Amino acid sequence: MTQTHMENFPLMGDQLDSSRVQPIVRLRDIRKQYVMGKASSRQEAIVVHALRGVSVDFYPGEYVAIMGASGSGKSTMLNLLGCLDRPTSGQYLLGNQDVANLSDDDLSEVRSRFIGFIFQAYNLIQQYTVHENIQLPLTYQGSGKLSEQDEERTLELAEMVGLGSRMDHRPNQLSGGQQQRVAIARSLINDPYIILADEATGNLDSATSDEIMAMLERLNQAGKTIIMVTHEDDIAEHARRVIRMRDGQIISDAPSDRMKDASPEVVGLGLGTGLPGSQLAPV
Amino acid sequence: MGRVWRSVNLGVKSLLLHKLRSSLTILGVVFGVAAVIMMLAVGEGAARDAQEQIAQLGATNIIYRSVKPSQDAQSQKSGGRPSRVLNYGLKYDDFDRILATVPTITKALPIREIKREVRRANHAMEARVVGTTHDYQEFNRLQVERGRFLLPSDNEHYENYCVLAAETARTLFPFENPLRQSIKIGSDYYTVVGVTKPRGSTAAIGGSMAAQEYDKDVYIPLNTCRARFGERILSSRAGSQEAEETQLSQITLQVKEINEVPMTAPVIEAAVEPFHEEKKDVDMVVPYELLEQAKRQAAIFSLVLGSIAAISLIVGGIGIMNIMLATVTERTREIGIRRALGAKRRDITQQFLIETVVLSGIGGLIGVAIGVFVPPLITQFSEIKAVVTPSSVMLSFGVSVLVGIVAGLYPANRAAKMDPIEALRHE
Repeated sequence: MTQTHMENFPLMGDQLDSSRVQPIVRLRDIRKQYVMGKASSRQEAIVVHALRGVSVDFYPGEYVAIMGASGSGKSTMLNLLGCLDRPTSGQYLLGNQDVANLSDDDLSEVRSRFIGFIFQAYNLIQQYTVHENIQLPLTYQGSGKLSEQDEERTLELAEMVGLGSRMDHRPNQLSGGQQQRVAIARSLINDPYIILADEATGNLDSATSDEIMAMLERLNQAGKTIIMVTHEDDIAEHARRVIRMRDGQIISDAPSDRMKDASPEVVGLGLGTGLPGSQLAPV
Repeated sequence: MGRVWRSVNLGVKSLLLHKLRSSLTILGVVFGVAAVIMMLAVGEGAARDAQEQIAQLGATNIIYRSVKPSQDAQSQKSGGRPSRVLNYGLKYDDFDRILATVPTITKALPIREIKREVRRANHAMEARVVGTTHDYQEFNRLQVERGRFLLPSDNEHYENYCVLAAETARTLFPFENPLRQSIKIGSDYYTVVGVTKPRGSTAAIGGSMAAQEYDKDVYIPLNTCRARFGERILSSRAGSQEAEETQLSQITLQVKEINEVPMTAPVIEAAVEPFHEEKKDVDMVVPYELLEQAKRQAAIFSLVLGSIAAISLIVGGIGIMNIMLATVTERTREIGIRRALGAKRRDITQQFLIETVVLSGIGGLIGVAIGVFVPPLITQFSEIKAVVTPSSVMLSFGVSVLVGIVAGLYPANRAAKMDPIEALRHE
């Protein structure tokens, strides 16, 4: 896997002149190895190659699904993209910054400013209200002081996900779908470069799943870059681009079936409008 | 400031998630802090009692007392056979010598004490007859109820005047005004010129000084005493007669400033001891030294009590640590979420430290409240005196917060060291 994704992804390549729009994420030959078991003198340590040289670019406004069986490396990939982990080797440019070798504190700072997470299990803080949960990433930025604008934005986002009237509720007073909507609002509070969704609908019934997917879709149309990990084909169909992985490598990278029939104008929708830092209007 | 307040606020929210657990943890600290304050209060109370009693002797005083020599000392002197007349104690010469040689002394009080029966009409009692001068009143802080105390002129003129202590007056003159009436001591009559107010007795100190009762006294001028009773006292006991010869029972000396006491005492000792080396029949008591000693003992006492109480505070700290370790394990996922959303390691450390300090701080405050509230009740309902000092309150509260920090450091560090990915996967 030494060739760039451009050859794998001719349609996007045609649409986008890389000199015009810079990729927001640029992975080059990313490798990740885990050492299983303690490397004692008696026992040989087992080295697991989770990623074996992944190179891929993501552009602003893209909506990408990463698919693969368990053990394919998709979770490792998501952890690396989310700056929760560092690659063993390779280059990871987020925006213009190389984040592959940042210190633990710097990675935390990057997560709090540039990345939004949506988890399968919602992962809200149980003892906090909706209001406090949405604001949580801001409290870990810089001084942690919340401005009036932050408060306004919190309310705006809560209303956007339809929970403006439930600001003082706690997670255990909300349904799964509502909790996931809080998580979406939380992932947007720092106006991130990319939103990473990890099986975001895995714990939800199909009706609620559709609701959440529709919300993600609207976010993408508003210009947000979304990368989601899923193993469900029909969920992946919501994305515009599907990357399939196996054994730590990308085996295919193509527009989703939905996009194959669509006109180039639809494909290009949202591209270039969702540059990082742009203010998100309520959907 | 706003951020810390916010952190404390959110910390309290996390603690409220497990109300019973948090309150039990707090309880450990409450008992610890309250115990420390109360123990120190009891120690302080005991110390003050002792110091007050010593202070009543007068911290600027140096006291010399005549001591009846032991049988051993008597035998040595006379070669195996006690002499018929036992001659011991302070002499008028000692008194004059001290005054002549020690310049720092501002006042000197000679005292001669004799146990005698005192009569008036058909009332009689065994009283302590004290031959002394007018300074006695000031030295012993006696207050006059009626009439006057002895005057210098009474002594100069060998007057047969006497001043009665409160209980003596009550016994000899029930329902009567004793002033200008006569009482009989031994074979002589004395005119009552004054009555003193009741004064509590001083407690015995250490063994160097016997307890003193003032309320059964009769005060007469020293010169009168010397002339009427002489130096020889005869007493019959179980068929045998004993004679004692003593000139002065006690000499009380006063220096101007308390810091002159340590240097004056040895000089006085040097002036007196050489003349009493053989019989060992005098004894010096320095209230100031006793006071210092009492303070040292009180400090040790408080230290021991405080240490015992501090153990409970440490146990409380272990309780906090235990609960925080459990909490950290239980909230692993929360830690993972926070890390994923941008919390640095030190944010996590800070969060858990704030929670433990809030726990121990609340415990400390409640403990202080109990510790301040209970000792006055102890004093009121028992013989034990307990005095809460501000320093003990600050000390115990400070230690409780410190214990919270120490107990919280390890769990907080453990929380911060977690790998965010592992923590997020934790169920």
